Amino acid sequence: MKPPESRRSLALWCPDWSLLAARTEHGLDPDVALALMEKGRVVARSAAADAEGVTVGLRLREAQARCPGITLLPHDPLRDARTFEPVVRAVDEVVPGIDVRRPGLVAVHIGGAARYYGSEEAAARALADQVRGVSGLVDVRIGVADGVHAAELAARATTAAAPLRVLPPGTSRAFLAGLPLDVLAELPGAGPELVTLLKRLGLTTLGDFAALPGASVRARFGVPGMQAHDLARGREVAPVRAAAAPPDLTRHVVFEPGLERVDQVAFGCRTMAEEFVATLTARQLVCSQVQVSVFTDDDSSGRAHSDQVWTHPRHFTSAEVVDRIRWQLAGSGSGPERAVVRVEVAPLALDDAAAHAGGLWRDGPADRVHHTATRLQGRLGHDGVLTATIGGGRLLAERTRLRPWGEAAPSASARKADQPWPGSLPGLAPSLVYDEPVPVRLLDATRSVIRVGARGELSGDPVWLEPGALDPTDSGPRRVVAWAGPWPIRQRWWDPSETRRVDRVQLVDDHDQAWLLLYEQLSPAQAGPDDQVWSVEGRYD
Amino acid sequence: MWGNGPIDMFEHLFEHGGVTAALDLAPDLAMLRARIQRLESAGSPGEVAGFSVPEPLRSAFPSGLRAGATYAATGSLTLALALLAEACSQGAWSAVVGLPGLGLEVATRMGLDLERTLLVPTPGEQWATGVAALAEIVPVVLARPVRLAPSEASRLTARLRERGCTLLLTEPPAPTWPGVQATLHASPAGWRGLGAGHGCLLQRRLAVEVQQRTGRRTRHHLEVS
Repeated sequence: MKPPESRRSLALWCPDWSLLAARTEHGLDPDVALALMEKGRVVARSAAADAEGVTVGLRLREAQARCPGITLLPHDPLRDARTFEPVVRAVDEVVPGIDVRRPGLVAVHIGGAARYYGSEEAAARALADQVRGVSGLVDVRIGVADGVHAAELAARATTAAAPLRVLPPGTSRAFLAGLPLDVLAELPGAGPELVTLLKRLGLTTLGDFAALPGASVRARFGVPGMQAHDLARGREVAPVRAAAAPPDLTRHVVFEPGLERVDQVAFGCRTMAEEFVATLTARQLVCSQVQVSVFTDDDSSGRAHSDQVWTHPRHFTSAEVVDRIRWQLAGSGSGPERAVVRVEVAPLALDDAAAHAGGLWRDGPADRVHHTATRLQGRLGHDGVLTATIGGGRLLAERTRLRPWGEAAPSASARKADQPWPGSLPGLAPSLVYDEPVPVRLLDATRSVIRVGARGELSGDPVWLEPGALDPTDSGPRRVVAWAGPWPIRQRWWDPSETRRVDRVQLVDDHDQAWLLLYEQLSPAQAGPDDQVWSVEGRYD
Repeated sequence: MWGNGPIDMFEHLFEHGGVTAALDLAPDLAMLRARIQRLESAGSPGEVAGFSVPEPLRSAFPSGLRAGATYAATGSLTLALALLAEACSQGAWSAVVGLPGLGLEVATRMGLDLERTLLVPTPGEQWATGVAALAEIVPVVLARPVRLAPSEASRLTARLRERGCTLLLTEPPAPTWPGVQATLHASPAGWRGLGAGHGCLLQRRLAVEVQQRTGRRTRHHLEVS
């Protein structure tokens, strides 16, 4: 077996991940000058900001002075990690067993994938194809080398034009030797101070540093120096740790004194099993495979008396976990010969609770809603099932934005909901809105149609309303008991084809029904018969 | 492994409680029947079992709108929207069927989350299918009723009951509709804010008459602003 430091590793590096994450979350354009701040200093900046002279380590004021239009956001490691999650999952689909070194950098062992895809290059390319496009990722750099550290540095040595660098086996050390010492500053175990010190000693490359005898380095620089030295020599300091289920999901129960009877042990495990399942449920996980380890009191070695993996066709409930413990104890003869002091349950196969039971009865509400809504769309047509958002606008029908189910919601800026919209309706909104204008007649005391003058004044006080088609009982004109208006709405006067001049009147009739009416201001050329000027915009049903 | 002992006895008690009860079913059955009856009747005051209703109507529905039941809210869409918004106030999904032009803006002001509202404005011939499909995924459906064959209507109500989906109808359904739990009829009872040529509508009052299936009638006042 090869020693761990020489295992072929692949590092997938997303340059400027923090910037990308910030951009994705805030919906910023890639060309925007952006800098991330931590403790009042710039920690990352976009290319546009770089062009203006903003550098890492700059103070806030200075950054603003050099680039007045700069967008400054706080650096948020949690945001980085959160947005990196989809990338991690995408990598995991191609190469299982991944190690997230930090947001923006994952490492995997490439051996298996290289055999599967035929070569390391092919595996790396498959990985890049898989990851590109996830979370808005375009620039993906991959380095393959002996050991994670060399692979990471190989990835960093790539360019956007040639995003893949494969160091053939055995050449990693030579590659590292040629690199300047500065690369150590960004790696764990070393630091800028160490790099400065080494430079003052006259060393310039990793090769110079690696050539120093290990014992001397250790004596002079202690453990961090030793780690940096190991890194420089191409040794693996932190090998890939293939991701497994997090260990904190493991639950155990200790019996003191030890229990000898199976049913006693099973009963004692009940609470533990319930907690085990409850922890998983709280994380929206289900477990379809558990490992049950039983420790007896003659085990001073710390090894389990019996260790068994149990698989479930769907997923385990607490009672089923207890059953497995019972079966395991009973299966090893007539129960354990020695007293059981400890039982441990570890989840081996975990799955998202929403995705797991797929389809029939236990998937997540959002999935089910989506599934059924899509099916209904199949019957009624794409725009048969809608969702709505309220946007900006003056006319009621304009404000409600309907869209077919499944289409992305318009962004807040596209909806323009937070803008003032002079002329929009104050107060109570009607419960019925007419998309198409329904003609009505608004009459004054002499029963002639009221007109709105060019200066926005009514030709008379509204006294009668003829609801026309909207009155189911057709009981004739209704008396207006309260009214207000006209409220002018002048839209897009700059565009002759889009321009609209309407006046709004709100009124309550003697049936205690409230209405919103619109008076269309027509140019003399368009003017039609008197009846067509008033229409209903909405009704307070 | 089935040894005797006190712990073993507990095991049996926990695991096979149903089996021991089966030996002696009759009193249990009587007790369960009594419980079902209690649940079906008005319900104990103060305990909200179903979907909550707007505050002024709580005295008529002390345990809220029952899951799986059908209610008719007639006379005013505002009343129907107020019921829907209140029922979904705990984050439930909802669906609106057959009501194009519904004033969604007033619904959001009442607290309806449009992100969790599905709209099927023109279901056409597929009304019953649509409501049945939506009943699978949302706990509350607001719909304008259409004329259904009695068999189809009873099939739909059975589905709703089974899924625990509450149906709010905006108009009184055909008399053949099986089992409308209660009918709420709203009539306008005044407006506030609008004068003769000035002001704007700020608040409205609705008089709501609730007629339960049992025949009990109560009157309430609902204010919407």
